Amino acid sequence: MTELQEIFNFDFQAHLQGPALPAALVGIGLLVGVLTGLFGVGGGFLIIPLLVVVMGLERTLVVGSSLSFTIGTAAAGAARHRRMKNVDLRTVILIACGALVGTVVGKYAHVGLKQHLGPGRFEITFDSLYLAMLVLIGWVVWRGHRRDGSGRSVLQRMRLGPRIDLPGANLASVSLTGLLGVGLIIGLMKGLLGIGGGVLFMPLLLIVVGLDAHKAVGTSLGVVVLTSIVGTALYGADGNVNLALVMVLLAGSTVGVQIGAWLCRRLHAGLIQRYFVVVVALAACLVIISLLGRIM
Amino acid sequence: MWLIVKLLLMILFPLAWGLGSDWVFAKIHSRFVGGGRGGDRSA
Repeated sequence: MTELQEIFNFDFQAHLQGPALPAALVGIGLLVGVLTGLFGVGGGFLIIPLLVVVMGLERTLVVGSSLSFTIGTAAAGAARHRRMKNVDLRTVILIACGALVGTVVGKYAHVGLKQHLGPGRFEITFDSLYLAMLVLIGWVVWRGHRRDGSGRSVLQRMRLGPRIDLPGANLASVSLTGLLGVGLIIGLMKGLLGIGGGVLFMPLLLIVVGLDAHKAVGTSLGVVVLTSIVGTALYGADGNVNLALVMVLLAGSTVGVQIGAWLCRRLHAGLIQRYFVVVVALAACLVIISLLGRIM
Repeated sequence: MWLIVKLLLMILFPLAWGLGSDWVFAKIHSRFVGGGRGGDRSA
């Protein structure tokens, strides 16, 4: 029974101990859930800095546990979008093929960098990578999703074959190599940093692949479920997933998602976009504080 | 053996939680609000 108990215990190092620890984690889950419901994103970009910087948890454990947590949030979203017929299974499977390879490579890159750089330089490198990703996310959202005037997506214009038709996604003559490449990039981010759903994936699906907005959300969620399952298995095999942590985060986020969805129906779309950039900026501030603390 | 059980728990627990919570809230929504379900409007 001890084998199982070790993944159900709050036996990790954190700034808080005792009942305050699960209470704070439920609060973080609630906050991330509100953002998921409000902005339609996974929340990995926020949950990882919060758990590492504010709670003081070990980064690899946080990445592994956040992948397991994402299975729950993305599965709920994917189920909702499947009912709305926004998930084209063929597109999901093709992108997931590239993404699964990327997730495996990303995970081993994470472990390799950790061993090669040593604890101090590893944390500084990953804080810097997160900061770069947050700046990119903020810029992408601020700029908005712009489509190409020709009406054809990047993968439809790409000369790299072979080509396939995706009738379920209303796309003809799409480069299969390009589609697998998109999946590979997303998988790499997921495996290496634990983020890579929602905000970064959406512009790729809209502009590069050419999906419409609703299909892009459903497809993104479907791929995120599959990559998170593979990522959880890889990190979990090394003992870097804590189910107690996942459970309290899910408990908070389940309620938070409903609050976020309720808020979403009452706010103007332009305002939501601005709020999102503010949240990304706050997450970036957290990472900068952590980075400065490690350098000085 | 234990590793397989732990990995299945790490994957199936959040999966069941996500699908279960979606089902429960969809039922509550259809019963008390009626018909439509809240989707991701931010997309």
